[in-house]
Amino acid sequence: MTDTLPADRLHPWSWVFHAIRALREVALPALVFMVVGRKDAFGPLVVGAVAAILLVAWGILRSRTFRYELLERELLVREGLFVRETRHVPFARVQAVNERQGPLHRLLGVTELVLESGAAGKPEAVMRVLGVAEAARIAGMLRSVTTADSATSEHATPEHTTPGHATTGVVASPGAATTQELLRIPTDELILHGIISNRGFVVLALAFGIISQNRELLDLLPIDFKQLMKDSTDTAAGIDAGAILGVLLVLLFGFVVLVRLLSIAFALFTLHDFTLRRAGDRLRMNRGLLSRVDVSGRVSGFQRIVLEQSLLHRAFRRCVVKVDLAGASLLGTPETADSRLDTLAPIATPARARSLLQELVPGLDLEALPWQPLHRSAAVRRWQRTMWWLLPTLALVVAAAGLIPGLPAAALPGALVAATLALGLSVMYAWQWARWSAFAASGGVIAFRSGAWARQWTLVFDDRAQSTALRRSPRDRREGTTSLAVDVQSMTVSQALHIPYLDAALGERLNAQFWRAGTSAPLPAGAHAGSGLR
Amino acid sequence: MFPVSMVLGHELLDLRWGAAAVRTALVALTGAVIAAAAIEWHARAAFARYSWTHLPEEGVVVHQGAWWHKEIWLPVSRLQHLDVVRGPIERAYGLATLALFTAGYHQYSVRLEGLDPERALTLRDTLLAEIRAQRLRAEP
Repeated sequence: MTDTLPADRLHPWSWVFHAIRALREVALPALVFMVVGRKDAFGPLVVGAVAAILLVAWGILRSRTFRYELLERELLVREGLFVRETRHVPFARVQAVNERQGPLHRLLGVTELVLESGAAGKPEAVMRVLGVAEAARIAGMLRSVTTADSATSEHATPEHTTPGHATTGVVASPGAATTQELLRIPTDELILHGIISNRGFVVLALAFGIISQNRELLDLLPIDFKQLMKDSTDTAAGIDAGAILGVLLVLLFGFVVLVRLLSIAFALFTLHDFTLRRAGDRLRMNRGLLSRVDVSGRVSGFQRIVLEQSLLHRAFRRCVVKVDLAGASLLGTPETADSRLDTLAPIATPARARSLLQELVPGLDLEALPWQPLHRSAAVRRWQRTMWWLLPTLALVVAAAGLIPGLPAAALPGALVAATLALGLSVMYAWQWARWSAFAASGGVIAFRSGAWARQWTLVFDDRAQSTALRRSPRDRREGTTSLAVDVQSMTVSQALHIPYLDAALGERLNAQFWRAGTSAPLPAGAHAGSGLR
Repeated sequence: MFPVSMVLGHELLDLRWGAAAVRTALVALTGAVIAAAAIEWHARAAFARYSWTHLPEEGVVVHQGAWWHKEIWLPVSRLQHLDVVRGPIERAYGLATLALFTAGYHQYSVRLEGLDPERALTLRDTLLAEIRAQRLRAEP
């Protein structure tokens, strides 16, 4: 066992951030419970002091036991207090270099650097924290090395090159180093993004959660809830229904406006100065006003691209472009979860999204894809799937309206009308879903678009599937259909690609395309998972 | 007597409780037989459906599922590692399972079950050799 001691240490301020992280993960819930829940002042003070001492000690120990060193072709990391862990991270295996700087980081001139490989799960190295110059040195080193290394993996595009192409080895292509700006989002688009996305609810829910836990805060609010309740019950008898309805509508309107305003503010803060740049195989994204995020990933590590359009998006003619990178982790540490390359464009016009995709995946034109419809039974079966939950729900509502005593006479007819309406809508939805859902195979890209009112496009690369599965339910066998599921090397919430109600012959043809690509061409360089056979 | 009946409830003190118990037992027995038959049928159907093919130099295809048929296609180039597993029941019946792992997420492992141990080992070695050959071709 050679236990070489890496030369470099973290930034002297590191203990602060280790302490903050420990505070957030473990101590904060306990502290909030103790401080907020108690009336006497002495207890919380003692608890707070002890916790502070423990946190500082923890921070110092954690940061002092972390050492690293940049070697010729790898980064050496040694960390751990009780269990000492030494990791060799070869530069060529680093898929993503992510930096995050909160307000406190910026005040102290430091940044957090996270390195990820294609392997799922924990990041390869979390360097909390480094001086800005030191982080730039490491990130620059990693970016230059990996760009040169992966120049050969540019063939990971739809045009399949011969397998021999991959054997040319490490070539530093001079063109790979030039940086090209792919996307920059102006402020007016961010405002639009705030209006479309509904992140305001997140802020509101947080505020509500804190206020409702704390009586003192509730008393601070300028509204006297008890008086309000009393007033309204006192006067309810004298006010006609129209006035109550009016007040309710005004309140609702005010609430909606408030949420949207919060959402706009959220977008302006988090997505301020959003820029997406490309240097060879490496993609780099910056964003944020108070917390700066600087993340990167490899184009050859793309596992899946998803375009989404909600109803509001469609109203404003915009869409979102998301990406799943190799090893992309849902289970990352809280810090890394929101600072990784998962969105190519938080908001873009369809035309802009199309040209962005064209630049990233040569030969891909979203408009010109040869879309093929699903099986003709798709509409009926999509509708029957909603019936599984819709029919019992409606039956319950109608039964309740008819059987519960004391309801107004209009309840039953009203419920029946509503149920009929819901059924009608479900039929319309299924019909539109089946009419619009389609798949396409073009070059090395398999695309599936689905949805009725909100729409989404899923794009996967035939040479990046890990495995595929054809499923046939009894109904599928009767109708002569199949469903195709494709698994890729990233933690997607549901299957990376799932096409239901496919004509069996077409499904087998698609599966054969994945099989051919998977068996003839080896995985693109850098897309291998970290572990495994070497 | 009164407090006892309060505690135990009427059914237990009722003289006819024996008849009720017999009825319950009969119903339970019938249920168990039907369930066992269903499980037996399902196991036979699943066994009849279950098959796998090793396409040399290409990969493994698995067919499974009694009602919901599923075909899994797994190229050799995507294999990360292979495990031969023999649990206590498998050892008792002289069987083995070969587990194939990929770098995927939803379907990161595929298990070839009920193999002859010899065959599991041979298949593992063949696949390992194929993987090595592919890696050599890819990264000389």
